[in-house]
Order: sequence, then structure tokens, then C-alpha cells
Amino acid sequence: MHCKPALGTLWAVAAVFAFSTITPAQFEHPDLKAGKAKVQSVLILAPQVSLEKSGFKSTDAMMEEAHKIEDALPAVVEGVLKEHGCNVASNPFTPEALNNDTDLKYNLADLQKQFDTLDMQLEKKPKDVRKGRFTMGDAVNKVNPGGTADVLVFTRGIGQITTTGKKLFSAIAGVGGGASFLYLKIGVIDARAGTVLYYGRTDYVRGNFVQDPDVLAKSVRKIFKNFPGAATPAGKS
Amino acid sequence: MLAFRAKGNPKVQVPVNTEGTIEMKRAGVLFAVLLPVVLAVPLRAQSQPDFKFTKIDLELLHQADQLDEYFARNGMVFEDEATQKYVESVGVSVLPAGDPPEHVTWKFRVLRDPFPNAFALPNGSVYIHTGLLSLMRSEAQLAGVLGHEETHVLNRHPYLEYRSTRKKMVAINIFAMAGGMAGGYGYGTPSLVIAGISSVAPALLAASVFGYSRELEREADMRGLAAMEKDGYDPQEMVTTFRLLERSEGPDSGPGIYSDHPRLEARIQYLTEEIKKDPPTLSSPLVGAGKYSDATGAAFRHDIGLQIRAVRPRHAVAIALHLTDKYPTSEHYMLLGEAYRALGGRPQDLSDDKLSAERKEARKHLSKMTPEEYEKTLLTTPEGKAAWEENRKQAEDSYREAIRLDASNAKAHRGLGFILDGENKASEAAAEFRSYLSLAPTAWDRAEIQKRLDALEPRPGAD
Repeated sequence: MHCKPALGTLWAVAAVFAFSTITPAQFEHPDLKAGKAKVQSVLILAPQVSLEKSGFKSTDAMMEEAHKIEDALPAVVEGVLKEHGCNVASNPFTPEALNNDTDLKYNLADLQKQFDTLDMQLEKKPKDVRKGRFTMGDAVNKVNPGGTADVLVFTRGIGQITTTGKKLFSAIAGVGGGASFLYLKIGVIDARAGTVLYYGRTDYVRGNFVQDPDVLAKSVRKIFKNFPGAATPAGKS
Repeated sequence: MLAFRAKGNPKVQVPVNTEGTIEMKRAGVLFAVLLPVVLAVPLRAQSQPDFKFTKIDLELLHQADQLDEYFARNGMVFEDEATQKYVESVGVSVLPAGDPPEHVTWKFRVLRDPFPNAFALPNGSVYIHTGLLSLMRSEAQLAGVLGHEETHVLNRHPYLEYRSTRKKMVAINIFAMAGGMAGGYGYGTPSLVIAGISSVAPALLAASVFGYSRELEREADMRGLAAMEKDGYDPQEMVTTFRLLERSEGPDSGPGIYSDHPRLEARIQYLTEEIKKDPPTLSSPLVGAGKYSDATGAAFRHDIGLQIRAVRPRHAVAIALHLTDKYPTSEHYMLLGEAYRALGGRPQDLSDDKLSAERKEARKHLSKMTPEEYEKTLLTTPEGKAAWEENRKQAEDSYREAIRLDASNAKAHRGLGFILDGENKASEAAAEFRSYLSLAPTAWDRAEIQKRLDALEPRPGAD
């Protein structure tokens, strides 16, 4: 009987600890904060979203729903960046363009993968963005035709849709993982040097994030809360 | 995925967490769905002509089609026409006669992935990684791999495994529920034991799947072997594939290779026994090493870049050495130079023990550092510095040979420029960079190279 409060406390501590790892936060490179980095022209790369249906019997990929979010996100990010005074370049990586240029397709795929690799470190030590620690190297120039863009924007989302059965099961069992959520993060990368200029992430997005872009917009706006955008001295130049 | 690489850790359920890459997570989720592709069950060796599709099976089929699209859309398919055609021709040659089973359309594709692997989806899509193509050395080996993958599709393993996994998921959730209740309302030791089991049970269940998988892999190996023989290929080449996989283990191998080691040994053993028992009837069975090298050269070359980016420079060196040995062209020497340069502070030759230790060390560091930071760390030790001296020299020799064979090889000039720059040979490095910019005026890294050039030879009037 004496175990009950102790275990309860442990559960509470574990829950607090788990949620603390996904605190919404934004991290700026010192050059961005000091207004030395130019972020006038922005190129938004295709977002990558992973969504799964978590049920009692199985965990299934929800690729169609993930595509819906991936399709909606560029316009959402564009809208928010425009609010910050940035010019968003039209997407040069249309399916037709990529089909006609295999090297460009491969370079884009490799760069997205490279961001994912870097993202593991960004997740662990996001504060190091403020020390200017992270870079993707000059390979970013491979997807910056003519060097016209100042920054590249990488967007990632990970989410879970929980079935009613699983929700019920989680409630009965008193274990976590019962709620649907989407976790978003965005990296803004210098399009010439590859430096990570800005990294932001949300807490868990709740609500109808598959169908309603406004739900996404609210979270993306939070991510860019501290983004100086084109208002920086360098941005104005 | 079969036999041809470690299966890593076949998770029955992929939790969403905030670490790891989206691609990995997505792949994880997809493979959780397509578990039968990754794992296997002990099933009948015969194909299943009377297989009845359920709603769940059709869902799985749909997911497989989506995965095909995902690979194509995201630049993961190696789109070299000659390579694709060759792989397809070998794949078709080891298929049984007659129409494909219901809901199967055979497709053979190469994926741009440096880790040695191959897998098949239930819809008949068979994928082989560039990392496995560049490891193998003959058409017979390729035939063995493709024959093995086809077996999983022909025998409907994906669907049967998926059904089985769903049943196991219910068991896992019940264990978890028991654990949750124990944790929340427990009474002393028994509760803690139940809680412990709940966390271990999924692993135990996964282990049972591992066990089944072995049996299935054996079944697929046997059919692959039979298909090879029927088509006139040397079955011994299948054993060679496993030996090559064993040899590929090293510090820059992908995760899981070591975990598959005993299984590889066992497979080599039973395949050898099978060949002894039923030796090939042809006096000179087909190996097709020359044809294989000719047809897959583009994939080998492409894979060198992928290996380097995946921090597997030893594999890159091995592939480039093979290419220069077979076809001593300027391009291949340039690639060899790139591979040696990527080796950085790693010694070229290490004993198995040291390779293993280096691998562990690399994993530890790469969990905390970016690849660039890790490379710098390697160069801070005396061993690293000595290794870099050796690698730098090999890289320089390779670039020079590439230029000797073809002075217009822009990338060889670029690579040599970097090497000479590192040796503080400013004027020679500048000359190489100038050659590069002149030969590749629209290069993606023109601005960066020009910056380096300016630093080496400040232009009059430049800031």
C-alpha cells in the first residue's frame, strides 16, 4: 500500500520530464540576432511529415494524411514568413523540374537527408545554435540555383493519430500515448554557407491538424516567434 | 530485408519520439506496417495459389504501393536506365514460369542507399540497394539475392506475417495494460515484476519473430539457390555473397551487421551443405563477373558518393579500388582520391578487433557530434595524424593519376587543390583550383572555390 504514493510520484515526475523535452522553443544564430545575416529571400524546401495511426492491434503509416500536411505546410510557412517581411521564392523543385534533372533530384534528396542527420544533433543541443555550432556546409549551394536565395527552410513533422480503442485502452491502463498530436520543427539555413541560422519547434499540436491549415499556422507562428526576418539591418540592405 | 543484411531490430511497434530523423521514423513506421517485408514467419515452402485476400491484406498492399511512390518521389530510386534494365533482366530470369500471383506486378529497382540490403514488397516490387550491388561481384550473386526476395513475394510471407504481427500486437498491448495497472495500483514486489515483464515482453515477442525469421530466411535461401541453379548460375556464388557481407563488417558498417553475424555463419554452413548434397549439374555454371561489372559500373560509382556521405569511407575506398583495378580510368582514380580524402584520420588497415573498437568509438562520438566535428576530432590524435598523412598521400597520387589520364577531369583538379592547400602549397593549390573553375565554370561550389582561391592568391585590389 505504501508503494502507491511513491509510484504515483514517479509517474508524475516521468510525465513532467517527458513533456519538458518538447517545450516549444526558438534558437537564433548570433549573426541573425545581431542583424548580420541576410534573410530577405527565402526558399522553402518540401516539408517531410511522418504520421502514424496508433491502434490497439497495430501501428500503421498514414501516408495520405501525412501528404496532406506536407502539401499544406509550405503555404502556411510562406504566410508566416511574409508576416516577417521575407520574400518567398517560387518553388523551383516542381515534379517536372526534378524529373528532367536527375542530379537536382538526388541533390535535393541528399540535402534533406543531411538535414535529418543534423537534426538529431539539433534536437539534443538546440541551444548550440546560439553558439553558431551547426552547419550543413556549402553543399546547400547545390539546391540554390543562381545563389538567389538567402536562406533555405527545412520543415519536419512527426505525429500520431490514436484510434478510439487505443485511447480507451490508454485511459484504462493509465499509460501515456493516448492522445493524437503533431510535433513540428523548422530549420532556417544560410543558403550559401550552410549555417543553421534559426531553429524552432512547437509543443504538441493538437486539434484537426490534418484538415485545418489554421491549426498548423498557429504552431508555425509560434515557431517563428523570435525570428527577426527581413527586419534585420542585413535584411533591409 | 532479408537475408542480405542484418535486420537491425525488428520492432513490432514504432513509438514516436523526438529523436532520430524523419526519414528514419517514416521508414520505421512503414516497415512496421510492412513488417513481413522486414521479418518473416515459418511458412510453407510452396507458393500459395489458394491465398485468400482479406481487407487487412489489401490495406497492406495499398501501403506497399504508397511506399513505391514514396521512394520514387523522394529521389531514393537510382534512375540509371542501364542498371535498372540489367537488374530487371536478372530478376526476371530467376522467376518461375507462368503468370505472377494475384496482386503481384514484378518490378525490380535499385535504391540509392549505401547500406548492403535488399527487400521485397508484397506487391512484387523488389528493391536492391546500391550498397549491396557495389559489394557483390557477379551476376550469379545478384541472381541469388533476387531469387531470395522473390520467394517472400511468391509465398505471400508479407501478408501472413502481418496477420501474425497484428495478433502479437494485441498480446503486447495486454501486457502493457497489465503493466500499467501494476504500476498504478501495485502492491509490492509482484506488481513490480509484472511491470518489468510488461517492458520486456515486447522484446521477447520480437525475439520469437527473430526466430521465425531465421526459418523463413532459410526457406528463401533454399528457393533462391534452386532458382539460380535452374537458370545455370553457380550456386556457390550465393555463399560468396554471405562471405562478402561478413567481410563488409567494420567500424563504418551500418548498425546491425554484427548482430547478424552468427546467422550469416549458419547460412553459409547450410548452403554449403546443400550444395555438397546436390552439386550443380552443369560442368561450368555461369558466374558472370565480367558482365556484372560492366552493367553495374554506374551504380558502383554512384555508391562511392553515398558511402562517403554516410561516413563509410572504408567502403568507398574498397569500391573505388575495385573500379580502378577493373577499369583504370580518370574518373575512377578521381573517385579513389575522393574516397582516400574522406578517410581522414582513419588508418587504412586495421585488425578486426581494432575495427570493432573504432566502430564503437565512432558510434559513441557520432551520437554527440556532427560528422564534421567527429572528423576534426580524429585528426587531433597522433594515430589520426599519421593516418591522415598516409591517406592524404594516397589521395594525392590518385588525383594526379586521374589528371594524367585526363587533364580535363575538373573534379580531380578540385580534389588535388584541396590536398595541396592542406599541405600549404599555396601556388600549386591555386593553380589546381583555377583549372577546376576553368573546366567547370558553372560548378555549384564556384563561389566557395573562388573564395579559397582569393585567400591563396589575393587579387590586386581585392578586399
